[in-house]
Order: sequence, then structure tokens, then C-alpha cells
Amino acid sequence: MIFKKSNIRPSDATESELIAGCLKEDRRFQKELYERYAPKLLAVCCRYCRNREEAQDVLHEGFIKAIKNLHRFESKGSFEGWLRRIMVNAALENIRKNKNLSIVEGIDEAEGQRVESVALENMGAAELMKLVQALPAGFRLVFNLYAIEGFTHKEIAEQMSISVGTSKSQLSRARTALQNMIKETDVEVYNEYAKSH
Amino acid sequence: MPNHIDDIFKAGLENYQIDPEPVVWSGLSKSLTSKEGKVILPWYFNPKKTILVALLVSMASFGGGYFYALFNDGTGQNARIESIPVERKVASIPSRPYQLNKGQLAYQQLSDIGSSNEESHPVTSNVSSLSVSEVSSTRRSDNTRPLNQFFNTTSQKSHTSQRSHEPLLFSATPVALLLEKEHELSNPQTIDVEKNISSVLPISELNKALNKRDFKKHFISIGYQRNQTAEGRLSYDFGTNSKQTWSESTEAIDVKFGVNFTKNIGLATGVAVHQDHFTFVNQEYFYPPPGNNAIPSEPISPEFTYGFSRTDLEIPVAVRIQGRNNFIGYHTVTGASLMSQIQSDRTFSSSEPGFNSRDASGLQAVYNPQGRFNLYGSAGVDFYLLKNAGISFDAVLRKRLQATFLRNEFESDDYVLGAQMSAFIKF
Repeated sequence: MIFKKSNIRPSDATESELIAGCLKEDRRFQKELYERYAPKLLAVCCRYCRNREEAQDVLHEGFIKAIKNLHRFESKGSFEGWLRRIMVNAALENIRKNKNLSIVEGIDEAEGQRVESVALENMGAAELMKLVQALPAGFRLVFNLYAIEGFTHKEIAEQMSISVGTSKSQLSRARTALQNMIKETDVEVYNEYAKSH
Repeated sequence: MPNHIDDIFKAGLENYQIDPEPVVWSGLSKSLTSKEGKVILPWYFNPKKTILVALLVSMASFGGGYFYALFNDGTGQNARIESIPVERKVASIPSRPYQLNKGQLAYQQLSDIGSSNEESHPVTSNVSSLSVSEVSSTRRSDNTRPLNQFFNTTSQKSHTSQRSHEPLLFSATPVALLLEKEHELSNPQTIDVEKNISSVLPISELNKALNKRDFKKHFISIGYQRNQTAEGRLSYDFGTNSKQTWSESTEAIDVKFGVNFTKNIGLATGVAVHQDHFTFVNQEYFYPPPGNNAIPSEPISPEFTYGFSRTDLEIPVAVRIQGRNNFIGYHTVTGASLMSQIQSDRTFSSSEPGFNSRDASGLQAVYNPQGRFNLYGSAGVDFYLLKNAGISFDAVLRKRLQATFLRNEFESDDYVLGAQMSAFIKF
């Protein structure tokens, strides 16, 4: 049996050609797909996980699911969005498997809070990521889904099998926790500034 | 600058990228299905495809044999005769004393002689039953005559005493014709054998002779057969944590003899000695569950290679359908066989020297020592190197009704495709 390789170079392939190559189970196209999207997808995974290693495991699982279900992708929407959604689902599944999701019931009114911080202005993505990863799993999950992915509380509640109120509570507490961490960072920044002057 | 906390984090993290470590892709590449990474086997290792091909070949061969036998009642032989090229269109009649049995030349044969002749031949006297004009018409302008006349006349007994123009006592043998024969034979002429050849030669008699020549009641063949049933198995999941591959091949030498009931149908039996080789390679890997930061796909055991061999005796009984056209023939064989183990052996090796099998006792029972039945069919082409002997090449499909080896999920009660080369003689 001879496997006929595509004449298209994977690195030159368009998104649809890349998908077509992966559907033919061509390893070169699978690798190209991975190389193109893995950095963004790993960042997505990192936001839901405690550390990079766990995120890489989620990326591994998510990528296998994506390749296996590639035939289900309809070219109507964004392929990257479809991949991100798979990664989010893989991350949620990972959290459920590890049973490290602690949901604190109750509603805190933290909506509309505004943050004024010197440190926050100078924070890069890596620092922001560290702050998110430092959140408890429940807070981190709801904050990511709501603030970054753009899910509504209703969608989050359905996804996580919790009430809408709980989702709001988790988000509020996540924001509060983030503000506290940012304040602590501000203090550290002020102290460093005071020492130097 | 957005100062709302959600917006800050969204703007900061939405397009953030982190390069994964190389180990992620190496793990993925082993987990993903890929044609590049698969153990790619030829199409005939795919049971469905081999069954389909074998069925088609068998049906075509069987159908071909059936219809060949159905319509091979002489028609084919006629075609063979008619297709013989006439290399020499004319043949010289040997100059020798004329021999003719006057009573054997029928009048209707005379009427077959061409009538377009314009040249007259002198007839002198006493023609009792044939007019002058009729006799003159027997003379052909091109000095040729049909071959049957030649055959019929030269095969008769001598009757030279009739050379004088005395009256004939029988009406069907014209003296004029006899005179002409004498004239022609004393002066060597040429005859046209191309014209009306199919009506001249005794085709039905020849066909019978040819059929008889082609039909040989017995045959013996000695062959070498190689069967391959291999399967590459790659399991790498949470369930097994191991990679296992195995392959099996068999070789056989067989002697068959058979009886043909008709030209196309016969029965074959014989004895075959099979040598079976089976290799099983196993290596265990550690595949961490989600959340475990260990490197995936790390081998955690040496690679074990178990080698087995066994010798079996096989006795087949089969129906054989065959046909032949000059130097090329075909045959299909469909039957069953009983196979019994007469000897077995096993070997064990490990990638780590000195490492012993942990499952030595269980491995003893890998081979099924019981007698096993097979169904098999083959289709092949015969090349006649001699008049009744030659070599043949067969594709063989075997269905094992009982497994030759048993080990967990590996049970080889499956289809086996092979190839066979034989030398045969018919007598």
C-alpha cells in the first residue's frame, strides 16, 4: 500500500489545505497544524490550569480530540475559535477529572469595580497569566470563561452544572482575589521604588 | 488604557502565546493516527480486501472453467484447426505408380470436382455411364483438384490392371476419370489445399483425437507455498500502556496427486508439511494520566521478543477444475484440509541482556496443539513446458476454522493468503 503524499508543502498550506491534509492523516500536516496553533492554544490551556505542565497535558488531550473530530469542523466559523473551544472543553474535563473544582456559593457584588494600579499598567502577559493561575480553580474557571472567552453566566452555569448565581459569585470573588493580588504587587512596587529613592 | 479588570486581562491574555516544550509534540505524534506512522501492510493483509479479491478470482476462475467445459464440445478444437496457417498453399503429388481401387471412387465425389473447366480431355472409348461432356468437365484448367480426391484415391488398393481402356463393370467409376488420374500422377502436378480445407479434413475425428490427447487421467504436483498473515498492532492508550506487535508466516512443501474424471474436473489430495513462524514483540510504556507531569511514552520495560515455530502435517482433499489451451492452462482448487502439529519450539529474547520472560509458563500454551480444519481455495495458471508437464503459480486463500495459536486476543482463526509455485506432470 503506497501512501500518496500531497504536493502542497505544509508550511505553505492554507487553513483549508491544512485541514484537508490532516483529514488524510498526513503527519506533516498534523505537525504543521500543531506548530501553527499550539502556542496560542497552550496559552488558553495555561489560563485554566495551575501550571505549565498540566496545561501541556490538556493541550495534548485537546489536540488529539481536535484531530479526531476534524471532520466535524464546518468551515463556516473560525477554525482557531473551534480549536480554542476544544481546548477549553478539554481543560474543563481535566478539572472535573481531577476533582479540584471548589465552588463557593454566595453572591458578592463586585460588578463594575475599577482597578487603578501602577503595577497593573506595567504588567506583561506572563505576569497576568501568573495572577490568573494563582486563583483557586473555581474562580479561575469562571473568570476565564466570562471575562476572556466571553461566555454568559447562563452558559457557564450550564457548562459547569452550577447555578447562574454561583457563576456570578465565582466571578465576583475571582475579581476581588485578583484585585488583592494586584494591590500586593503595588505595595511591592512602591517598596522597591522607595528603596531606590 | 482600560482599567476594568476584565478588559485588562482580556487584552493582555487573549492573544498571548506560549511555546510548548518539544516533548508535547513527541507524545502527540505517537498518539495521533497517521499513515506515516502506521504499520502499513500490503492490501492482501487486509482480510476484507483479500476475501473480496479471492472471491472475485475464484468466481472468475470457476465461471471460466464452467463455461469452458460447457462449450468445449469440439467447437474450440475446430477453431484451432481452422486457425492453422497454411504455409504452403500447394503441394506436389509424388510421382509414383498410380494405385486405385476402381470400385471405391464414388460418383458424388466426381460431382464435387470443379465444373468451370473449358478444356476438354480426349476420351477414346467405352465410357459406360458417363457422357463425354461430363468427363471433359472433370478436367480443371488450373491443373488442381480437391484434396479429398487425392486422399481417397491414394489410400485405395492397387488396381493397375484397369489401365487399358476396357469397359468398367461398375457405373460409379468412370474410366475417363481413371485415365485422368493416371495422366496427372504420371506428370507431377500441384494441388490446392487452401480451398475448402474445412470440408476436406476429417475434423470431427481430429477433434476426438485432440480431446483424447489433452485428457490425462492422473496428475502429480510438488509445490512450495508461502502464506503470510501479519498484523502490526500499536496500542498506546490508558488501558493497555503497552505496545505490541506480532506477525506470523508459514511455509509449506506439498505433494499432491489427483484423478481427473473429465478433461476439466478432477479430485486432488496429498500431503503437505507446514512450518509456521510466529513472532510477538511486547514493550510496556508509561503513559501518565492527566495531571501527572511525567514524560509520556517513556518505556518502562525491556522489549520482549517471543519467537515460536511449529511444524504441521496437512492432508487436503479438493475438487479441481482445470482447462488448457496449448501451452497455457488454468486451474482452481477448492477443498478442505486437516492439519495436525507434529513439532513445536519457542525462543525468547529481550532488549535487556539476561532479562527473563515473566510469562514463561503461559507462553508454552501459545500454540494450539489440537488438530485443526482449514477451508482453502486456490486459483492458478499452468505453463506447459513439456507436452504434459510444466510449472504453475497459484494464489491460495485459507480459512482456519481453529486458531493455530492462542494468546489473549490474538487468535489466528482467520484468513491467510499465500502464494504457491508447483511443478506438475500429467499422465
